Amino acid sequence: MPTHTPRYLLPGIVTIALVACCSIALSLRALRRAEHASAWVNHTHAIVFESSSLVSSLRAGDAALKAYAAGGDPGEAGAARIAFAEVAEQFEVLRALQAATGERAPALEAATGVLQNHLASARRLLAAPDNDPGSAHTRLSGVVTMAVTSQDISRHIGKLTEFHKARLQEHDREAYRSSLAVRWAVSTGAIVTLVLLAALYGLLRGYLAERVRVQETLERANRELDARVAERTRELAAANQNLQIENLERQWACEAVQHQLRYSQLVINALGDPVCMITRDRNIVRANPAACRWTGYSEKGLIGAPLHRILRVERPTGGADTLPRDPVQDALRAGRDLVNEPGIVMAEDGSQRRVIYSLFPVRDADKVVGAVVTMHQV
Amino acid sequence: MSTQDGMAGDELGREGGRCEGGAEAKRRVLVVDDEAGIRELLTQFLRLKGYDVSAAATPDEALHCIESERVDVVLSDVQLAKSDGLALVAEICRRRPELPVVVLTGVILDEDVMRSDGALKIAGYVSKTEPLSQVLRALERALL
Repeated sequence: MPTHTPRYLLPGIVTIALVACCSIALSLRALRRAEHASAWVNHTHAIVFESSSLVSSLRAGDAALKAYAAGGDPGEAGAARIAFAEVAEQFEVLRALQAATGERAPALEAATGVLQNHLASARRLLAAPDNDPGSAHTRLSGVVTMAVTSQDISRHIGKLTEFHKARLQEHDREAYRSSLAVRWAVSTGAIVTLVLLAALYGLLRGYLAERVRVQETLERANRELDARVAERTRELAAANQNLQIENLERQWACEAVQHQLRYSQLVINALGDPVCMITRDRNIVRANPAACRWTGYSEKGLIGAPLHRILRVERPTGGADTLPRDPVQDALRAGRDLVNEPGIVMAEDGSQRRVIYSLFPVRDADKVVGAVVTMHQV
Repeated sequence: MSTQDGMAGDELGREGGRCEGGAEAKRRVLVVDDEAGIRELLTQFLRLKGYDVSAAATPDEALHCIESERVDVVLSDVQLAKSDGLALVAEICRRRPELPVVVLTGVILDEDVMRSDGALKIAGYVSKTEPLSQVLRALERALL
């Protein structure tokens, strides 16, 4: 099962993050530009507004002055004073606003001198006595003169207004282009991000599906292996049990043999007559306790000793002597029994006792390997 | 006296020691023999064959065992050191008449001797010279 992270995961995430960061940076930059442009636009609109207000106030002042010059109405004079005061104030505001832009405005500079003269003329006309006929004539002529300067002022201010309006329009076009570019960039970034996310999702889905498949395969293999191990364990346990039983049977058989041997030994030991086991060479290999008692030898002293040390066969004439041919040797070679033959048991201390002895050959696979010799006192 | 539950019998094959229709209650055999080797050998063998086994070396231990534990069958040697196994069999028959007793004879003639004694209700005889399967068969016959 693959445990490592897919190779494409980190580059994919980094790419998506980069695209998203670029989109965010572009958006923030556009936002900052918009905020800055908003302040500029407000400022420019204020200039345009003040220009328009100034022209309006100027026209109102000229109209009031003209009415005052024609009728001598003091109310009109007051209205003219107020209007021209507003014009002066608005002009100062306009200059301040223009100065705040840091740019020179030739139209405003050209209007400055004309407007100041215009306002000075207005102040003079309004300062003349109301009831003086000469003053009335002077006012009328002054009003006519001022109409010309008023048109100059309006023209200069109009140029200023047009200049700023043109800049506003240019800014609007630039802002529109910029917004289109930002929108395109952000949209492209979003689309690219979505496409990358979809691709990454597809790859990860395939990767996870592969992992699940590998995991299932591994679990299936583990289950099969566990089953095989369990089956093998059962077989081994059964084989082990059989081995243990066989081993116990073997031990039991050994015990049985031991019992048989012990039983046989008990039987032999219980006999009152001497019994010896001899080899084909007539050497004693076993002797029962009666044989030891009769001869005075220990069992250890009898084992390995020749039979004739304790048993001398007797001549048929009755004299105790060795015969030219040993009947024991002949019987062993021929594999025949000797039954109730006369003999003499020779004790270690030299004492003798007459016996009859019998010899029964012992065969192993039809081959005589020894004999059992029993003795009985006559 | 040594009384042990047959772990090997639990883990390995269960044959003769299982009751009919149930896997939980295994038959319990009390093995009585003064020879530790024989006792241990029979204990292991019977556990492998699915029996629960208790073991006793002397008649006193055997009698204590049948009084204090659930025992379904007794497998006893007739030649115990310092005592007569037949006397133990007689005492078991007196205390638990329903309890079957299978005797192990170490000497061939014992069987004939015991067959002549009608006072003892002995469920079976097995010579120690016979295979272990005969011991198992005698126990199964006694538990029928």
